[in-house]
Amino acid sequence: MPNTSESFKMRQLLEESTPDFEVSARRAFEGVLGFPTYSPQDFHIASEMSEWSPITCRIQTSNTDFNLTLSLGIDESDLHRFFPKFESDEMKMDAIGEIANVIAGRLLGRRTFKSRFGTMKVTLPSFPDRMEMPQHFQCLRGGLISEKVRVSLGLVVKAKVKGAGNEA
Amino acid sequence: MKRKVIIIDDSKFLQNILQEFFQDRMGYEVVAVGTNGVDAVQLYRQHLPDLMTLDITMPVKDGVAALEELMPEFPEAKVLLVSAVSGDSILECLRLGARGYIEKPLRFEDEEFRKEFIDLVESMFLPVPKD
Repeated sequence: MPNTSESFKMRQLLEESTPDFEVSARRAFEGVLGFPTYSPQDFHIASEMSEWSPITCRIQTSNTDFNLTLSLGIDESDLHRFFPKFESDEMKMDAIGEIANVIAGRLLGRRTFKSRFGTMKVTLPSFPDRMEMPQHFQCLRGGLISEKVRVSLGLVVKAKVKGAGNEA
Repeated sequence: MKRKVIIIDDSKFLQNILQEFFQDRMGYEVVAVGTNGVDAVQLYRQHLPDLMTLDITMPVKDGVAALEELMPEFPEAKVLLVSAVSGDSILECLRLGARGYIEKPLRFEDEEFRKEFIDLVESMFLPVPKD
């Protein structure tokens, strides 16, 4: 069973990180794509991730106290709208990975985020077919719209239980 | 004579952006492109470029490990970090001898960013004042 006070604390830490996540994501999209980007609804805490997108990029990292999973989902049909110059899907996926990489770099480098979760290193992006999520997790979820394309974003941070299995 | 540059980044997307900018906007010759720290060291030895751009988070061997191997052998190497990460890894790379750092994303469509990037690269070729 989840520890209630621990769960409450995690929820609070994630809630406090909402602006960090949203700002990092928006700046990454606008910087890489060069399109204005906006958030159609508030980023919010949820007990499940958004519906699995056909293309989901994931970045996982951890330190001694936390496991973090950042996910970015997009429909395959929208990839071309983002990257009309690229003919190959490989290049489009590579660019999505680069956006996820920039979001993670900006988020993990923010002073306010580091003060809550400590220092974590950015790791390489991957495109899993599905994503195993930890039990009893809380997630920061949100969506962005850029160039009429909707992307879903998720951030799961889970405190490590000392001496227990700690997969993110 | 054109200056020679090597681009090291695991993202093909970024490789293309940098390659295009160095060739078309700055008149550099891109002599090689690599995707990890092992490539960085091998290609540097092979081409002895005027400049190398280096990502930090890469598979096989990251940018920090590449600099640890490269800089003792080529202390005059001009390495420009191009990375999404910030903080301790950047400081470590600068301590190891990287000459400059530019944060991703590369917003080359932004005139101010272009100017900043070019100024940074050019500043790496200025003579270092002696103490």
